[in-house]
Amino acid sequence: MLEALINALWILLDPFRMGMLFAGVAIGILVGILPGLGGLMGMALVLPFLFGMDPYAGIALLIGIAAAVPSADTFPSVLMGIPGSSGSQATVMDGYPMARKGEAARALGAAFAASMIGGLLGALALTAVVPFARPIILAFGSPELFMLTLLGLSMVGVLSGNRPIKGILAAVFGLVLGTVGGAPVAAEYRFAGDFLYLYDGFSLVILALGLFALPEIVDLLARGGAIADKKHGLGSGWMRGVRDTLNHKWLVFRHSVIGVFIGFIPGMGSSIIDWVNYGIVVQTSKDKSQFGKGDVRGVIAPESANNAKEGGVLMPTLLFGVPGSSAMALFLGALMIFGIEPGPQLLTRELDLVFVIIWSLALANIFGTLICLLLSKPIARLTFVPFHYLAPFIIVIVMLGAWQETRHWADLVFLLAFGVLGWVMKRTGMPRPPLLIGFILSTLAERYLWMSYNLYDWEWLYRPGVLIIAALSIVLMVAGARIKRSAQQSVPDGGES
Amino acid sequence: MRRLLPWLTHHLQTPFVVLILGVMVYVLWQSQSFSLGARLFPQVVASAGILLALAELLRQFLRRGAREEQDFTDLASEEDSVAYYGRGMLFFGWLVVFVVLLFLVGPIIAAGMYVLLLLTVQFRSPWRVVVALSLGLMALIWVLGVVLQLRWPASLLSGLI
Repeated sequence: MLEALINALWILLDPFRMGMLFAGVAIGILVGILPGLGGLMGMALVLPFLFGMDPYAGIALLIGIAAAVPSADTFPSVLMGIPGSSGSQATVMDGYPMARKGEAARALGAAFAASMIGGLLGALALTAVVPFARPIILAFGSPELFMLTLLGLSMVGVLSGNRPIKGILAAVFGLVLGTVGGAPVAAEYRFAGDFLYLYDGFSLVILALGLFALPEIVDLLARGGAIADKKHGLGSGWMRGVRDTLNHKWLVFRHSVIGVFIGFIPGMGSSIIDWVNYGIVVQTSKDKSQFGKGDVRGVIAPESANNAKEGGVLMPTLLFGVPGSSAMALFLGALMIFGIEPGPQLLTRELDLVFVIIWSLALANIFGTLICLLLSKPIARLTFVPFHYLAPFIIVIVMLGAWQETRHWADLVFLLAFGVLGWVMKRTGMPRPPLLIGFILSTLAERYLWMSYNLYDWEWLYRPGVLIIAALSIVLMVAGARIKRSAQQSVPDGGES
Repeated sequence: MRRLLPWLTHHLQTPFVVLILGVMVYVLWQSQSFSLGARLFPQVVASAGILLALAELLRQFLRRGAREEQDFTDLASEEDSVAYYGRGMLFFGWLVVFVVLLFLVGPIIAAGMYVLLLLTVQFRSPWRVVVALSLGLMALIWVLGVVLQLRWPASLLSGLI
C-alpha cells in the first residue's frame, strides 16, 4: 500500500502531468469566480479534450478543477455577496459583511487557509479509508453492486431537488437515455433506427455540455449586464485572516470531518454541506452576536467543510463506482473515456491511479490556495468583467469541444437539443444531476442487473447483502432528507434559497 | 396566444412530465421486440419511469394552482416571464448562428466573426474591444488546434475554394 502511495507521487510529478494539474487549478479558479458557472461546467468543458490524453494527466486536470473551485468561489461570495457556486452560499453570510467593513482581505485569507487545511484533511481521510474498504468491497457480488448503483441513484434523485419524485424520474430518464445504441449484454441495437450516429449511443460529453454548460451561458446572457458592480476593494489583513484560521484549528478540524462525512453520502450537494456547517457553527458558539454581521468563524467553518467534502465525495465514487456528486459523475465518465472501469476493480488493478487521484487532490488544494492568495488582486478584478465579453469564448470552446467528440454534425445538433432540455429542466424544477448520473451509470447498472438475473434469476432480490443495502438506502434517504430540511431551515430570510 | 404563452411558461412542468411519460411508454413498447438480454433493462427502467411520471402528474394535479418551490441549489431567483423565455430563446438562436458560421467558413474565421456579430449586434460593445476579443479568440483557437492536434470540420467555403 505504502509502495503504491509513493509510486503514485512519482507518477504525478512528471512535468506534463503537473502542468495539467496546474491547468486544472487555473480553470477551476476561473469557473469558480464566475457566479453561475462551477466545477461541473469546468469539467464538462475539458472533457472533449481528454481523448487520447495520458490518463494520469487527464485525471490530474479534472481533480485540479474539482479541488480549486471550492477555494475560488469565495471571491464573489466575499466581494460581491453573490455565491460563486452553490458550495459557497453560506460564506456570504459573514464574508460579505466583513468585506463591507473593509475586511475583505482578512475574510479571504481566513477562507483560503481553511479551504487548504480542509482539502488536505479530506485527502488524508480518503487515503485512510482505502486499506479498510478494500476487503469489504471485494466481497460484493453483482446483485450487491447493482443495489449500490440504485442506492446512489435514488439518493441523488431524492436529495438533489425539492421534489423527490422529480429527482428519481430524472435519474430514470437518464437510465433510459443510456439504453440508446448497442446493448451491452446482447448483440442488438436499440432505439437507434437507421441513424448510424446513434449506434454508439448518446455521447457523455455532448450530454454533459448540453445539460450544464449551455443553460448556464444562456441564462447569464439573458439576465444581461455585468456579473456584479464594483463595490468594495480587497483592503488588507491577509495574514490576520490566516492567523484567524490557525487560532480556530479545532473548528477547522471539526468542520472538515463533518464535510468528509456528509460528502460521503451520495447526493448531499455542496450547498447542503455549506449550510449544515454554518448552522452547526452558529448553534455551538457561545457568542452568537456577530454571526451574520461579519464573524470570521462563519467563514472558516463552511470553507473548511466544502473543500474537505471533495475527499468524501471521492469515496463512494472510487470505492463503489457510485458518484458522490454530479461533478464526480463526470469524473467517472472521464475514467471510462480512459478505458478504466470504476468500481471495486479500481482498488485491485489500479491502486496507483487511486493514489494519483488522492495526491492530485492534496496538491491541487495547496496550489489553488497559493494562487488565490498570490494573485488575489487580478483574480478579484476578473469578477467584474461583464459576462457577455466572456460568453463568446465559452460558447466557441463548448461548440468546438463538442465537435471533437465524433466530428459529426449531429454532435452539434444533439448539443443544442440537450441544451434546450437542460434549460427546460431548470425551469420546471427537475434536477439535472440525477439525469447525468443515471446516464453514466446506465451501462454499469444494466450489466449488473443482467449478471444478477442470469446467475440467480429473481432470487438475487433475497440475498442478505441486497436486503441490507436496500434497508440502508431507506435509512440514508430519510436521514439525508432530514439533514437537507434542517439545512434549508438554517437559510435565513432573504438569503439565497 | 396572449394567454397561452404565459400559461405555458408558468405550467411548463406538466407538458414536460407528459413528454417524459410518452418517452417511457415508447421505450417499453419498443423493447418488446428485443431479445431478453437487450429487453430486460429498458423494460424494468421504463416501467419504473411510467409509474414515477404518473405519480408526479398526480402530485401536480393535487397541488394545482400552488406555486412550485424554487430549487435549493439555484443561485438566483429565475424570471419566468414570457419576455425572459423570449430572451433565452434568442440566445439559443445565437448558438445556432455559430453552428451555421462553422458550417460556412470553418472554425477560426467563424470564431472571429461570431465575436464581431454577437458583441456588435446584440450588445453594441465598443469596436476596439470587439476587434481585440475577436482576434484573441481566433488566436486561441489556432493555438489550441496546433497544441492539441485538433481536427476541424471541412467548411463550405473551403469546399468551394
